[in-house]
This record gives sequence, C-alpha cells and structure tokens, in this order.
Amino acid sequence: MNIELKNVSFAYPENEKGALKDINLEIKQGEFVLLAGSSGCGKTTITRILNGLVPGFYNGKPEGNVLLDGRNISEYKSYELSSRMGSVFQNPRTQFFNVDTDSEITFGLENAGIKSAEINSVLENVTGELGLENLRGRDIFKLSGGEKQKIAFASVYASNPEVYLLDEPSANLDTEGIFELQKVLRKIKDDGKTVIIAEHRLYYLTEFVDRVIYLKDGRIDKEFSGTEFRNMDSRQLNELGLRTNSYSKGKEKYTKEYDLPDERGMIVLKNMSVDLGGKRVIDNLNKSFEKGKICCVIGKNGAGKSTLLRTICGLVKKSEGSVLLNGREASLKQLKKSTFMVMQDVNYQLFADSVLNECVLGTHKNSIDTAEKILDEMDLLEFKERHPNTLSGGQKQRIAIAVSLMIDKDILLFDEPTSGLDYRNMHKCAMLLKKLAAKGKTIIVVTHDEEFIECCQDDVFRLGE
Amino acid sequence: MIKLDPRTKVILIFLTVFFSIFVPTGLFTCAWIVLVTVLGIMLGRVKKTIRAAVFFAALWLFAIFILPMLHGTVHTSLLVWLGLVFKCYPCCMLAGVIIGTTQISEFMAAMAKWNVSRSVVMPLAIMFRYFPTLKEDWGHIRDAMSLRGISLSPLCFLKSPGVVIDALYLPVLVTASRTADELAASAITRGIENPNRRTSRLDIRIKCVDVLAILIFFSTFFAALIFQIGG
Repeated sequence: MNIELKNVSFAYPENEKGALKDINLEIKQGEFVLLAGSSGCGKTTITRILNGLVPGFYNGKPEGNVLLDGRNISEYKSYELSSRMGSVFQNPRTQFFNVDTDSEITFGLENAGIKSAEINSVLENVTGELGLENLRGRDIFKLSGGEKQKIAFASVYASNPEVYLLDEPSANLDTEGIFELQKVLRKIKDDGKTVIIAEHRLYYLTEFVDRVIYLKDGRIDKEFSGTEFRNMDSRQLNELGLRTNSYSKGKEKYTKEYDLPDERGMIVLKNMSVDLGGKRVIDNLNKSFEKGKICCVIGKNGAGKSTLLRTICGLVKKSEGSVLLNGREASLKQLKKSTFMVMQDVNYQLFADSVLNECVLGTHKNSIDTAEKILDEMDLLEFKERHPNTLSGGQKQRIAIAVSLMIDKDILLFDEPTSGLDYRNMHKCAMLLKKLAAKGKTIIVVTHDEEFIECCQDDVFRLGE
Repeated sequence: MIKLDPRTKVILIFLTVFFSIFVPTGLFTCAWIVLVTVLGIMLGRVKKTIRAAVFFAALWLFAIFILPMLHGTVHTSLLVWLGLVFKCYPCCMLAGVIIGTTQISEFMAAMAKWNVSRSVVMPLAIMFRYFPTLKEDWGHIRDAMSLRGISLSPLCFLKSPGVVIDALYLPVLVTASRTADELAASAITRGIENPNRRTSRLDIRIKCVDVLAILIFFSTFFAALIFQIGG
C-alpha cells in the first residue's frame, strides 16, 4: 500500500501535546520508517491517523489529506482499515481482549467472520512461522511482557495486513524481550511488509531502518536515510534528544554476588532466600547496598528483581537468612519505615487532588514550607496546584520521589524508572538519582535500560544465575 | 472432561436462579450443590470447585449442629446471614465455574449465534476481561498504600477513613479508565466493529452432553418443585 500524507495538521481537543502541523510524507510499500523525536512531538499521532483511531476514537478534526493507495482514508470503515493496517501498542497489559493466547491470536479473524476451519489453519501457520508453539493455549495474564508483546504481534500477523503500525512496542520490555521483538520485525520486513514505528529506544531497529523521520513540536524537522542514521554517533543523536543506535551491554562492570557482604552497608542481605507461593524466588543472596550510592539491579525476567525490591521494602517476608538495616536485623515494620519504592506504574501511588496535597498527605500540618522546598528541588513547584494526573509520566515520577523525601526515607527503590522515557527525560532521571545519592540516600534501581546504567553506574548487580 | 456450549451454561444459570427463587432452602439445595460440583469437576475446574463445595458443607453442618446451641442476637443474626448465603450459594458457585471455564471469544461467538446484539455482549465480554486485571491492579495498589504507611486494617480506616478511601478509589479509577481506553483502541484496530456475524475457531454447537446437562438440572428442579408442592 502506498501511503501519502498531504498537509496534515491535527490537535487533540484538551491537550497541547502530540499535535501535528503541516505534515507531508510519502511511504512506499515495503519501507521501514522510524518516527523519532522527544515525548509529545507527535510521532504517536501519525500512527493513530493511519490506523483510524484519530479521528475515530480520539476526538479532534484532522486537516489535510491522507491517501491510502490514492483513496482518502475517511472513506474506509474502521474494520476495513483493520485488515490492511496492523497496530501494536506500547502497553502489553492492555492490548489483548481475550484471556487465553489462542483466542487472542485469532481475534481479528473471528471479528471478520472467517470460517472456523480457515481460522484454525491460519492459527497453525502463524504459530509455526513466528515460533510460538510454547505459547499456545496459555493464560495471557501469566505471560511475561515480552511474551505478551509477541502474542500481540501474532494477533496482527494472523490478519496479514500490508502495513504494521507500531507505537513504542519496546517500552515495557526487558532486553531479552526486545531481542525477541527484533526477530519478529526481521520476519515482517523480509515478508516485504511496510513498517511504521514510533519509538524512543532505537538500537534494536538500527539494522532495519530505511528512513528516519525526525519530528519536533509536531513538524517534520529532519529526515535521514537508513545509512545516515547508522553512521550517526551518540553525540549527534543525543543532541537531537535521541537515544543510542547501537546496543552496548554496559561495561561488564557487574559485581557478582558478594561472598561476604560488607556489613557497614545501609542494607545488608545475608544468605537471604525468599519464597513466594511455595516457590523459591530468591535463593541464598548475599549483597550489601551502600549509603550514597546507586546500585542498578539487572537480570532476566523471573530472576526475582521485583521480589528483591519488595523484600527490602518490607512488603514480602524473607524465608531464610537475614536483612540487616544499619547493621541490625530489621523487622518488616522497620524496613517499611525507612524505605520507599517508586513503582514502575507510578499511577498506583498518587491519590491526592493536587501535587502539594500529595506531598503533605499524612505528614504534620506545618509541613507546607518543607513541601514547597522539595517541590522546587524536583522542578515541580510551578505545578503545585495541578492535579497529579494532568502531568506527564516523568513529572509524576518526580512527585513520587518528592513524597519519599517528605516522609524522609533513607533508602529509595526504583522499579524500571526509565521505561518509555525519551533521552532527555531518561538523562534527567539519572541526574536526579545522582543528586539524591549525593545527599546520602541509598538508591537501588531495577532496570534493563543500558543507557541509563551507563549514565549512573556506581554498582551494577546481576541477580540470578 | 466435557465441554459445554456457552448457551447451555447460560441456560443452567437461569435454571439455578429459578431454583433459588422457587425452591426453599433444604435438602434440594444440597443436591443442587452436588450437581454444580460434579459439573465443575467435569468441566475441568477441580480444585476450586471442591474447595467451594467443602466450604458449603462446613456452613451447612454449622447450621445444623452448632447454630441451635447459640442464643439471642448472635443466633438470630447468624440465622439470617446463613439463610441469605444458602440462597445465593448455588448461583454464585455456578457463576464461578462458568466464568472460570468459558473463553471470552467462545462466549461472544455463542451469543452471536443467538443473535444477541453486540451492545449487550460487549460489556459482558469486557467484564470477563476486567476481573483478572482488577486482581493485578489490586496487588499493586495494596503495595502502594503500604509504602505510604496506609493499611486496610480497621484501625487505620477508623483513624483516617478519607485517606484510605482516596488511596483506594483514585488509583483504581485512573488505571481502570486508562485500561478501558487502551483496550478499546486495540479492539477497534482489530476490527471489532465489523458488522459481519462473528465466528469462532472453536466448534460451538449444542451437542448430546449439552442436552443431557440441561435435562439433569431441569429434572432436579422439577422434582424439587413437585416434592415441595406434594410435601
């Protein structure tokens, strides 16, 4: 399918971000096009215009013409578009409609009313071609993020669209998941499909890209060919606010599990094991986390990274060994008292009606001055009257950090703080954590973001194996 | 193990509702629970079905042997509560079995065969899909509350009910509305609005087992009615 955007402009009714201004773009069948740029530059909006979600689902009135094979997109019904444009979104948790994998893969075909026998033969083919035999007949809620994303691809693949529209498909994946995703993309590209992808994390796309469209404030600011993009170094990319185009596995500075942890650490784990639901998740772990340092915890899916954080926060009970806080065995209550975790989905943690109230919630009445000082430090003072939900992801994250400073916790834990952040926000987050460490906080970060680790590596610790 | 057409399951639910309305609590309630238990096990939901049946048996034995020994307000309130539980138990247990053993796509295709309109089926299908999501969210929200020193204990609730309620409902609301949006967007791009009749990869037909299951449930219901009128 040939795609043509002519003088396309669009604005969301209640949000100034993500608007498009006078976009002219032509994409030929079989091209692999990367839409790059900082958060809110409009790259997601382009994918939404092409799959019909703008204006079908998101309100607003697009101007200009979008032509698919010369025919105006407004002449297509949503279900006609769905058979030609396949969309994969960023959140693996919310893009499946069924609870079991087989039904999800065939969902599009069932919607189209295709005969049972044909659906089943397509299901066999798809699982064979994408190598998903081990994911057949599973409960989707029990799959890892990477596996969910593979099922989302399979579901689109089954409908055999000509164009794949991808909106940050790697945002919630770990390194392993990203390499799985890369394999699927290779297959799609080899099949001659068009791929249009909006993404922050770029390294896994470098080998495929035919063209990079760089957007800034809703306009096409620059355009690079695949070769030009591959030749850019990290300085050039970072100047544009883009992330690296090559995979670097940190500097193999990984510290293995210490045999004898340094007892002077803030938090010391000695021969600690944790069981969850009768299964050993963490086995005989020795490690100390020091004051004023950032420790990045990496490891595969299911290695127990989240469980480690939850144990240190006092949310999970260890089953063997000891957790020492300032050299003394700590109870769950003591751990809860001195730790705070910023969760991967920070929305669970914010519940006041304004940023300022969020900070003073549960503290003493006369704490408003302190709160304002901390908000200033977090670059949030100008938003103090705003509702937390009207702020961006990075800002919400900083509110949670402000809360932890208000209740004066010494140990701060972060679960994937940079997933889905663009280069600037990722860098900002890293600098902030460094500042907190310099203030004497102990910082433990579970992450698989290699660039982030590069930015703030004091100590990298691999969990498991 | 057997498989039933989702339409049969809907019929069984209705039969159970009628049973609860027209047949007073008694031995037939136990018989009905036995039927539901057998059905649940045959549909492949073994552990949870047995657990539910054992819990029912425990309550039933409590009502027979321990309740008469109690007096006063405790006796009355327990009696009323147990009466209500025994009325609802068969329906709730069967609903649990059916939700646990029916796939969303299967349900939607079966309803399409009955020509039930999409505007009725969709919300039901989304409800099926939402329960496990809520369960996941719930775990995160409890963690988040605990990190702020808020717990769901009665003591904490009495001390600051406003904070506990805020901490609960806002995150549930925000995450639920976002989930709903993203889910809808993804369903639309997969052609859910297609007016063609929906099909299923599964073979959905009323078979012998379906007829048999309906017959067994219906005759038990009928016997209970006759017995009640006769006796």
